[in-house]
Amino acid sequence: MAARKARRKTPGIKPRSAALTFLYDRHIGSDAEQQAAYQEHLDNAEIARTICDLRTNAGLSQRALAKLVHTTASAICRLEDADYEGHSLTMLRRIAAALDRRIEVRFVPARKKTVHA
Amino acid sequence: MSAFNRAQVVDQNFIALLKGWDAAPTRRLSPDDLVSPSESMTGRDLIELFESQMAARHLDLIARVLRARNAAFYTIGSAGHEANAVVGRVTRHTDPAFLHYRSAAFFVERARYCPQIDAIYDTVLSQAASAEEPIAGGRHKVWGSVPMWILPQTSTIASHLPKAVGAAIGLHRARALGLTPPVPNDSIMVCSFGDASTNHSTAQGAFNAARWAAYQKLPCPVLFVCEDNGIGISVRTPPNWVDTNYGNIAALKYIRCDGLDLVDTFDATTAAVHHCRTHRQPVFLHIKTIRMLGHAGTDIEQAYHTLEEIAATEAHDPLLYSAKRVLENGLMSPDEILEKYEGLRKRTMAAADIAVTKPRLSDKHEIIAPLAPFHDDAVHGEAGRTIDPQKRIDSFGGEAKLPENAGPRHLALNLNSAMFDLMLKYPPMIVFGEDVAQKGGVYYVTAGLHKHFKAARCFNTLLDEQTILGLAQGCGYMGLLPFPEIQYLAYFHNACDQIRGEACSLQFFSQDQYRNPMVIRIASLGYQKGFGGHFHNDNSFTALRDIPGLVIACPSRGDDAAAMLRTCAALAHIDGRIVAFLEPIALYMTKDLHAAGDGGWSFPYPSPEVNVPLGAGRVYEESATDLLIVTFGNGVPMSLQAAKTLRESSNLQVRILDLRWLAPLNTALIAKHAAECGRVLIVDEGRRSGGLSEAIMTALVEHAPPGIAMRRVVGEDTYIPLGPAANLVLPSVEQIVEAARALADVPAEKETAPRPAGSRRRDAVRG
Repeated sequence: MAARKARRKTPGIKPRSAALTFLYDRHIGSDAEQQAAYQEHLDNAEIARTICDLRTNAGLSQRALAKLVHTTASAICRLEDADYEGHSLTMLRRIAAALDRRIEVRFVPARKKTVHA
Repeated sequence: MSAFNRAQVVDQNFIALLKGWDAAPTRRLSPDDLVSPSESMTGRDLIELFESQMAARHLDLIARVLRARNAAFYTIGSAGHEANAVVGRVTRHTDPAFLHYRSAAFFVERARYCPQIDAIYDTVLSQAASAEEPIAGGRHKVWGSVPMWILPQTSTIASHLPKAVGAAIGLHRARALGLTPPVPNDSIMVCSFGDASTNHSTAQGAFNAARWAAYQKLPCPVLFVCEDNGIGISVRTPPNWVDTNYGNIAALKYIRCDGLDLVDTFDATTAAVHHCRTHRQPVFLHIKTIRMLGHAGTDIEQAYHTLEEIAATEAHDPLLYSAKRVLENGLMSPDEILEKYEGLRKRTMAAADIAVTKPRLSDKHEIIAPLAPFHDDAVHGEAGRTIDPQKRIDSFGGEAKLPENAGPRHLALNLNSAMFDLMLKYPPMIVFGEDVAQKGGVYYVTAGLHKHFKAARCFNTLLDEQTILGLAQGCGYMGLLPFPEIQYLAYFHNACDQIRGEACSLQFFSQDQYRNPMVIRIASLGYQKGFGGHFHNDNSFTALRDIPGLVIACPSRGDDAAAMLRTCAALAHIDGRIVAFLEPIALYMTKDLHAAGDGGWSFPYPSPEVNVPLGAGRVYEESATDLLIVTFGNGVPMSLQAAKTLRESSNLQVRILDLRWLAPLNTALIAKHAAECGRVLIVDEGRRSGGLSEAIMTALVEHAPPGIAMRRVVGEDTYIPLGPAANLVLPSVEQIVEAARALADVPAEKETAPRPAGSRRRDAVRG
């Protein structure tokens, strides 16, 4: 119990959903290396899903989007893969432009403020 | 030892194995080396299969965590069955797959062939009932995918086996007709299920049908994959039950393997797939597995297994065996496996973190939309589409022999001509069932079709309705337009789930991305002058009415039958709909209406463009307003006879509405005519309880103006007896006359003075 309380008092990067808190606390916890690794997975997954969702909502196939940004369908496929780690700002900009969007880059605090009860 | 959270125990067991592993590899294989020199499995195969197994495990683990937090809604897992990843790897992604619910590893592995699929994310979306899940859109947790040719179903009672057999046969049937099937010609059908499911009659019927085909040297390339974990929920399968049953039977090749051993499973599956694909014969692949984490998350396994038994099973976790294989072969180090395992955990968590925030279905219309697509203009345009007139003339044998030139005819002949016409119009249309070929059906509705269109398009099946309807589904996937015949309505009921649980649910569970169109002709209903008893006079189609999305048509006369059948074909062709076409047996050969020789129930064949819009009824005596009779099938000629009596004896002017389409029920049409007449008599030859009359009454209460007087004449809640006694439990003309008089407040014993035509009597019953 004491260990659990200790984890709660050192919140790091939190999962988006409360449903994941249990797993996060259990497998990520306050370990900075684990947190960074999880954040990387989350970022990759989010980029992949965002591109996929925007493309799908625009009614475009991977091949059609590839044509718009002058690349190959397999390259788009890689960008929509949650395991892909080689995102470049240039390609993301091209995709955003093709889907009538723009990229917004923000740097936010790495850790949330601790709230003490 | 945790008594309740076995998921954590299993997770820790795996980690503990790796952290404690200190043995040196016995070999140093590279990914391209063969793991087993005599076979084809490489180190890469082993590594990637192992990865898929680990991913499947994390999907199981996260489902339970999310479920406990009300973020996911389905916890039947795959733990213990991860060997099915091999089937996903050894088959092609274009081999249609019908999977049971423990197929996570198969799904993840097959996704390697379709890089656009994120199997982990899609699975978590499915667990979370997200509307963004690609196949079912949150309607069910299913294994399904269009790019991966995985047809979704819930697979709880082996109901998916008949359609897998049907697809195997349908693939070759489509090729025989010169059509281009949607999958390569040498595809095989993959159908997985548990050991307990082999005991279902549906499974037995499917094995029998596949063997029946193979025994006659007919192609039936279906790979039955029995994942034998030795238990069905809490009931143990007797030792060696599956081996004994299927190890040595005719026309079904049997191959067994140990699902804890990836190499053995790979070798056996490769052999099984090769045999099935090369010889086009059914194969029974028996994979011995275990089951961990209970039947589902809600299953308290401690109620029927001791903790020691549970722990002993967990010691045989397939992941432990696979890890040892990989380590012994020097393909990965313990740290590398652990890193991969924890990486997959994070990836699954990240996927879930996004997936659980996605919207769920929030609108009932959105939920229902794919259940019964209906494009009115397209359907009726298609129903009225005609083919080259010269082709018809040539096919029927000359202009004089065109059915529309044959004069008035009874129902069976008109239907026969309509079937002939539709087979001309739709080259993919096939007709099959018991006795439909050379014999032309018990009532000769399919007479001549086999002779003209040959056995490839009109053929007999074995006597099993589950197989017939499974075949229809499978043929539908392969691009055919199936018209199965069920010989009698009573025979439909033993196969009802093929339509209720499978065919009609496909568009719902796939958001209309998969379809199995069909028109099921069913010889139906009673009034065969006492002949045949219940099984040939079954008058209850309530089971059909309970099936969401199913169209039920019931013509009462030959011209309507032909015109309605065209609409049914168009519904199937355009919108993928499933139609039950109830043909009143007693009216097949009926020619007369009021007196022998009057020809009052014979009708000319409608020209090819004529069709009946879905939901459109037929109204007799539309100017009559004393009373409305709402009816269908045999009730129509009986009501017409009663109306004549009422008109002549009581001067009651009776309007009759033949519904023609029994589902969906046209409530607006019923309400309109009811409002115009004020009194409604329902004549329903079905049963008193649960019959169509109840639905019509409900429609009147809900949609017609208040004050409508209502009565019904219905069949009794019984089976139909043999002989003249049958007439005692079914509606009769006399009962209709009597009920109509009571409703209109006309004394039965004395005739009333004639009234001017069109005068109304509703005041007596209103107010």
